Amino acid sequence: MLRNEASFRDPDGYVFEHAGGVYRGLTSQAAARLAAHSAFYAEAVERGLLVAFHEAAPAFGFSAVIAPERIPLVTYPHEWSYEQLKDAALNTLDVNILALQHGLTLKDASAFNNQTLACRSVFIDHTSFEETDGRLPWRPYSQFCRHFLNPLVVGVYRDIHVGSFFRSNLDGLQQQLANDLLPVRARIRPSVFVHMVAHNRFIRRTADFEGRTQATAVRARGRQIDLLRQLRGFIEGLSAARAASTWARYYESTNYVEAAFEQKKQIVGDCFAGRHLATVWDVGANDGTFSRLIDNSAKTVVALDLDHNAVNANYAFNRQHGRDRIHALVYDVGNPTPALGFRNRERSTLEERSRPDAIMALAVIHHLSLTNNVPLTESARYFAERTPELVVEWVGRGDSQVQRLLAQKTVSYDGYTEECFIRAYGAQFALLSRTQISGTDRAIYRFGRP
Amino acid sequence: MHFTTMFEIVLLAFFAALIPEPAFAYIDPGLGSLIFQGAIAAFVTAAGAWAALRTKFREFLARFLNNRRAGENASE
Repeated sequence: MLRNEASFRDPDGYVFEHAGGVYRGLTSQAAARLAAHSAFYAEAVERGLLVAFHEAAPAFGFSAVIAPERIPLVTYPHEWSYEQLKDAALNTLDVNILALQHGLTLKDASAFNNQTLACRSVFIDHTSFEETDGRLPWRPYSQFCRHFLNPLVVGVYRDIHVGSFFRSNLDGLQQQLANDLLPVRARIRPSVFVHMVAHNRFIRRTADFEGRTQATAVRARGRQIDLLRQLRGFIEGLSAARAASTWARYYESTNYVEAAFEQKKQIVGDCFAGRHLATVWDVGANDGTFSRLIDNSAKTVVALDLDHNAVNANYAFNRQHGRDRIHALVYDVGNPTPALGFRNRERSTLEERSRPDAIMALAVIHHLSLTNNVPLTESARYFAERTPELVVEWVGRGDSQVQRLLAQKTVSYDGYTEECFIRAYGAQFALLSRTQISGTDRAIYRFGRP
Repeated sequence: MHFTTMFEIVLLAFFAALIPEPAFAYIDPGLGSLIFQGAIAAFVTAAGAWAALRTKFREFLARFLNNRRAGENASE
């Protein structure tokens, strides 16, 4: 039995893996709650708000054990785009609104309790619910603001890179910082003023109540469901600021002629045609154009890009068109998702959660080499440490995009040549094929294990 | 809670928000946040009522316009 490293805060049970399956062990109280409110759990699963589960045989000293459906790829808020975080917020509210109709409410409103399954946000923590009379206060309110409301509102007025707040603090965007980031025109909106500005001031003003008042004794008139519906209406109406984006419209202003772009699609498609891989990473996936070419050849395509707008566009497209094998995530090769949290084991690196059978890296190497100053030998090592197979686009010095990058440099980057590329990547992989894209200084290379 | 008391709490929260504060080294936001919900209960109830009213008005307007269009089509 292998206990999940992130599952230790809830006294009602924890997640573990055993014999290839994922399970959640429950205490007797949690098991009784699950049985008493089976109608809620059934409806939440049926509506797609809560991940499906079935009862398993009790084991390892637990009163009851459930087996939730396995999530193909566990992802974190610091890897999500704006729309992903917004979907998770709405799902959290929806599952809580349904729970209230069955006499339950959430104990916590962590963004990490949501995962993406079949292009939809789904709640994964079956023991996050407790009985309630439906009256205020709603205990997870403060956490909901830090994990969802604050970053989503800041994303409207300032910057779309809202997930990055979770990298510096797994508890989301704190009230004070969120307030400091907002312009005046945002603060005077009634919902922003109440939930962020006044809320923050009130927390600070009442700091000296701490220790003198029991949290359980706090009661307030008003219904939780009204608060949740108000938050839902407000969040549903939010839309992200259009941050300056280099990549979201990249393919509209590319230097390819159409025939070359179509040929590139054909070459890439041929590399994966008829194959049945488990996981492929598309590094520098942009809006997912090439991920969608290969999602019939892999159970999971992890479409990675550092540009939030591009990831947002990719996520929204896949959700709209049901391309549920593609997981669009914010990821920077130059600064990948780190291990975070307690003992650095609570939230793991992407590499610990996903092992690709192949990586596709189109129009990436020149940015790594010329923008990030990563030598070809080092980028080859990065890929070799992660995958046995690599489909990579070489963009030569004659390409106008490379010339643009070089024009901004004071050094000559003499090592950036196709010969050096072949030597560096050939040291890590076996060269399987090279196909020139006609009319360009670009070629698609396919490498395998030596 | 009496309406006047609720009004005073909302007013207090409003003015409290306008006064600049020194930074605290450590504040657990949990308790203040729970107490705060008492102050905003009237706001969320009113917002909920307003949203319900707006939805009903939109539904009424849509029904009215549809009926009018149907009437115009019938007369043609």
